[in-house]
Amino acid sequence: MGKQEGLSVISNAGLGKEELISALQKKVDQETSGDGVVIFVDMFGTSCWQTAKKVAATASGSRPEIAVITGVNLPMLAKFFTRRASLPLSQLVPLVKQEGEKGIRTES
Amino acid sequence: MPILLYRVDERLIHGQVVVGWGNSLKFDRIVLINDQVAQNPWERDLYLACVPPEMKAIILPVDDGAAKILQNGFEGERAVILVDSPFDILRMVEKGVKIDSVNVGGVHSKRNRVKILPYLCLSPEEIFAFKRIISAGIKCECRDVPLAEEHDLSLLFDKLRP
Repeated sequence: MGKQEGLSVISNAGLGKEELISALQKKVDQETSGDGVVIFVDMFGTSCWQTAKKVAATASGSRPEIAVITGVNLPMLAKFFTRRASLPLSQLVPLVKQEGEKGIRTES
Repeated sequence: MPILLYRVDERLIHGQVVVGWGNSLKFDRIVLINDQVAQNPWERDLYLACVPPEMKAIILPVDDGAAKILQNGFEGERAVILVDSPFDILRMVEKGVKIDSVNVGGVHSKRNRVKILPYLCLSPEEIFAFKRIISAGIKCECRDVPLAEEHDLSLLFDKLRP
């Protein structure tokens, strides 16, 4: 797919709780190109998810809409990057979730 | 059944605790003791959402948490106590809670911090509080996840230059 614009990656390694919140907040504030921000997190219930929820809760007024999706996998990301220009966040998020679920298969 | 674990971890309920310590200790009750979280419905819900369905959880302010422990309020349960700072351990000890050892997980102080371990950066105030805990005869054992190497915090403090 090539290099994507409007994409930030952040690691929690070595960051305290408050540091991670402000680092994520800063990234979200930098993303001003679209009408919203999607935060992908690996695991539900983790400190990364809590951080994403806290930052998402600050969205209001001038801040963009923020969605949080857990269980991130490559099919989800591929769907997200191919459809984000054409769909509003309200339709994109369920589509991405569905794609992620479809991407988990067992072969035997 | 006595309390299985007293843990200091600024992230309180999260993956290391639920998955890591949950599988190792097989606890079925999480007791989150923190004044701010207990007062904030939004934060309460956030932490409670992180609890797997097979576990029970309760969130209490420090005074109520200490009182409940003193009344053997978790009798018959496999309970772990989570606090986010050594100061709350001291407050519970001052209320009369008997603690043999404290597990020290992640603490990353924001200011004036001294790096003790990759997951442990303490301010002078926090070091002082942990030293008071240690001098009260409570062992402070640093271990973020059950299979990690265990470090005795008092020995780590001995290596720090004043």
